Amino acid sequence: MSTFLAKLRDLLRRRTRTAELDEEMQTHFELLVEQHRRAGHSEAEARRLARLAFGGALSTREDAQRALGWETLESIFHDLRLAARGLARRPFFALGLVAILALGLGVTTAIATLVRGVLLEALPVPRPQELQLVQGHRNEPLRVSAPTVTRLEQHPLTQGRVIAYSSSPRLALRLGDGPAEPINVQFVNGTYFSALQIAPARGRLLTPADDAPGQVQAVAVVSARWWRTKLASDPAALGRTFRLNGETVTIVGIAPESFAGVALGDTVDAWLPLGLIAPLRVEPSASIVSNEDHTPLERWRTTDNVMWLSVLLRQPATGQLQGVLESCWRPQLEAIQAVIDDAGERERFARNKPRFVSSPQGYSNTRNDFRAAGLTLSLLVAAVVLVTVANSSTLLLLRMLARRREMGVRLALGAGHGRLARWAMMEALVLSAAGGLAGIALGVWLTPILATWLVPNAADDLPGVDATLLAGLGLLVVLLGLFLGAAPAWLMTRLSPHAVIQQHGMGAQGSLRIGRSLIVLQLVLSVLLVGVAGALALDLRRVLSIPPGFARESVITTFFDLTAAGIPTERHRAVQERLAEAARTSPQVRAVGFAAHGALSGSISRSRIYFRGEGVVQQTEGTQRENIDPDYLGAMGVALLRGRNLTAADAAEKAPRVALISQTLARQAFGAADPLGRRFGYDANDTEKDFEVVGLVADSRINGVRSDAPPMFYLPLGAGESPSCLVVRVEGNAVGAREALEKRIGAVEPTIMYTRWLTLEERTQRWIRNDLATVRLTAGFGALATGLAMLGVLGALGYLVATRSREIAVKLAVGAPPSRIWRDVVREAAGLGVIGSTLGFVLAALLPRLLSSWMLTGLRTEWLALLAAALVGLAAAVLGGLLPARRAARVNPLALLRAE
Amino acid sequence: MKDGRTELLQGTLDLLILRTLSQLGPLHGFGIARRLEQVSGDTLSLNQGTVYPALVRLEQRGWITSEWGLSENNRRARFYRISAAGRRQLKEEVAQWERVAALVRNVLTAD
Repeated sequence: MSTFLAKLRDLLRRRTRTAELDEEMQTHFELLVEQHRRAGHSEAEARRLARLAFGGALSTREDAQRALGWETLESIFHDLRLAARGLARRPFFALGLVAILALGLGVTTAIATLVRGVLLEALPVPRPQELQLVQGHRNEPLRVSAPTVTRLEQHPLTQGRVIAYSSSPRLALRLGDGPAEPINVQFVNGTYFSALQIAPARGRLLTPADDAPGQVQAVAVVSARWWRTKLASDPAALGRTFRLNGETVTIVGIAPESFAGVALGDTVDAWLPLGLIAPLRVEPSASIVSNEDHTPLERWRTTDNVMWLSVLLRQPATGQLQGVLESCWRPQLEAIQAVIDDAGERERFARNKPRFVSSPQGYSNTRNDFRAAGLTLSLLVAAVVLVTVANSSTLLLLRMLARRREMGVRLALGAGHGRLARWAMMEALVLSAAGGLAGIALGVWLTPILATWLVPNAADDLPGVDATLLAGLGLLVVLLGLFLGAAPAWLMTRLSPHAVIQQHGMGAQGSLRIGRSLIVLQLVLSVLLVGVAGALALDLRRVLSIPPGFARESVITTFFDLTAAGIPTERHRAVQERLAEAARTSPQVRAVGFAAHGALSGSISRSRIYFRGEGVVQQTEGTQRENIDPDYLGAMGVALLRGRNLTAADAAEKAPRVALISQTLARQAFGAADPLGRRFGYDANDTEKDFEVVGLVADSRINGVRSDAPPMFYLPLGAGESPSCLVVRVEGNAVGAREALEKRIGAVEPTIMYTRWLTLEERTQRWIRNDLATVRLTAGFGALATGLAMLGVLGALGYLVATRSREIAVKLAVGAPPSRIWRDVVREAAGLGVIGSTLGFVLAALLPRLLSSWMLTGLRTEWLALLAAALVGLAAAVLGGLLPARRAARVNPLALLRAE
Repeated sequence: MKDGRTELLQGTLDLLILRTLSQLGPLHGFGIARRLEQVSGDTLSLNQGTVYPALVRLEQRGWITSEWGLSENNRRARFYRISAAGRRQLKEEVAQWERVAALVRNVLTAD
């Protein structure tokens, strides 16, 4: 090693070292001369004897230099300089090739980073491979009851190793007297952090003492990111209190920076003891199998009928874990079976036995959703890289061919074959290194953009490009360079100066080199991607052009939860009035309405209802219920077609029970008959609580952009339902109106947390975010593939022209006009284009059927898009052929023939 | 060579240079070459220039160090000195040489 360093040092100072060596030897020589002179020889004789004794001056000097280790390294440097200079002489060629490589490698870098971050990264805890997830027969966590967790915690084999956690609901947070804002929390058991073996960044983490039954502490551990963004990394944050859903909670610690929860994509801002669900009035996701109407939150810790916790276990060294798990779970099963009448249903629960599955990554819905996309993208990237390599290799070879005379001359002047080959290789390596650097930079820039498109939930938690990935990419770049240089280098070793100068054959005469099939394949890929992108875009446009049944631009909505804000049910009505008043007096506001669910909210209530007729009971399943105040329909811009609207009087306790129904529901229940005056209820037989239909409402597609208008009935807001959606119709600029509204409404009850105020148009855009990302991504890959295919044609035909230049020269010499030569080449390109486009067209037309069972379910065959894509493919081929065609037409027959 | 002078065995020049430097202390290239010729009693056929590649090699391996000084004729000359690592190496090479020499002698003198 030190020898190597010494050599390197000598190399870096090689000018000085050479001079020094020369001087040393000169001195030596002079001393020899002097010695001989003193022995009585004449000056000339002394010099001759000295030369004899010293040895051949030149060869000795070279030996010494070689000993310095410069020769190889120096000639490599020389080659490097030569390669760089050669490339700089045709900057467009070099830049073009670097750009292709950069695009290919950039996409590779970005997708590799994403795929690794989302699919391959383990949890940032010590020895993640020890983590076992409790699953049922499905490939997802099996939620268990709190007592099951307690039994696991107390079992000697699993004691201290249980990591139990709830879903991550959003609560209303108030810091000081500020307005309420959202915070994602997770309720976890006492050994959650200790079993994960995480150390706090500051303060302490939660312990079993925080969650002791009857003595639950109102404490929280917050994430490092939340601490940074919300508390500006305030060191005094420990011991500070905030209010969650109105209750005071103390911050006792900050989790380490790398830890953002055990489920990628479910961001957790704060971890709380399990026992806090009751005081904070939070109901995490749960499946409840009980014969009670309502299981109070206070009993969730102790009942086996509410299953709301997912469990990871840090595996102990030995022991029969499966047996322990089943014995801890059995009481839960028995409690559930005790309240189920149906034997088949009881059997179903018994069959869904929990088991441990190794889960070093934890479980994440985001990861599962991304898997298909990640796989598809990886395949696409592999295809892009292969095509990139094939095309750039051809182009590089083409470039060498164009310079074969120069090479021949160099060869004739005495440069070795090895030297020429090394130099060709060096050129490829320089290109791939430049492309690699640019590509990695591009990839680093591209990764966060792709992340927000593909995994919006997890975008902030993903690791970026790190040393391991960089090393992998570096290796890829070197391999790429070696591969690219292999063909030109090989060519150089076979070059004979005589043959070159005589313009004799190089490589296979007149072949396309990378082959017709590969070019066609590239064109197919391009047509396919462009076609799919076009089809998706057209589909999206079609979906968006369907009238939604409500006004999109002028309606602003927000969602809130009065119960979570600590407002008792009896005050909801009054708060609603005050909110309405505040909104109405805000500038630009035309109408204000409230609803229990609202449009594009993701929140839906469905009921089975029974329409009464003369002796007939018409049952409709999955009918959607909405509770609205009298102004809701007007504010939303939903049309009342017949009958009357709901009034304030209808919401009174003793008022006659009335309802509105939507067109679709009316059609399902009555066909063309008049629905007004008909009655329906929730019970098949009991008609006492029936509603009378007093109005018919136009359909509206409130469940999402791609969902049809659901069958709906509207009831007055008030009886048992609280408003959770505020709808404001404004005139003029919605953005300006929104700011004033936000301020005014926020001041009414500061404990209420509102979701973002968005127009329905904006909600629509968010709804199609994923579709839009898919369109963009496919279009991006399509453009890339088209560009690559164009270059492929260019390279292949360019090669063809270069190797056939003699033939072309002969044709020209015997009188063929250049225009015909030109046409021949373009025709060749068009031929490739027609084959590729046709195949691509057919494949793209069949694709929806091939894929329908797999992923892009919304894909239809859009003939217009396919036709356009096929034309794009054809155009790419012809365009790619133009440059070689021009070159062919410009062949100078005289110059070429004279060289014979 | 016709006059019975001995060609140097491959690889032994390094050994001889190290030995010379360890015996005589710092020397320049000319001094080393002259010493080698003196010791061999002019029976060694050595292109004196070849000591330079050897000196570069030895220095890169860290077995000798060098510094500039003045030669007898008042010219700048580089003086080489054996290092601690060089002495260890010399010891090893001498031992190795003796083993080989003994082996060769045994083979040649065996009846």
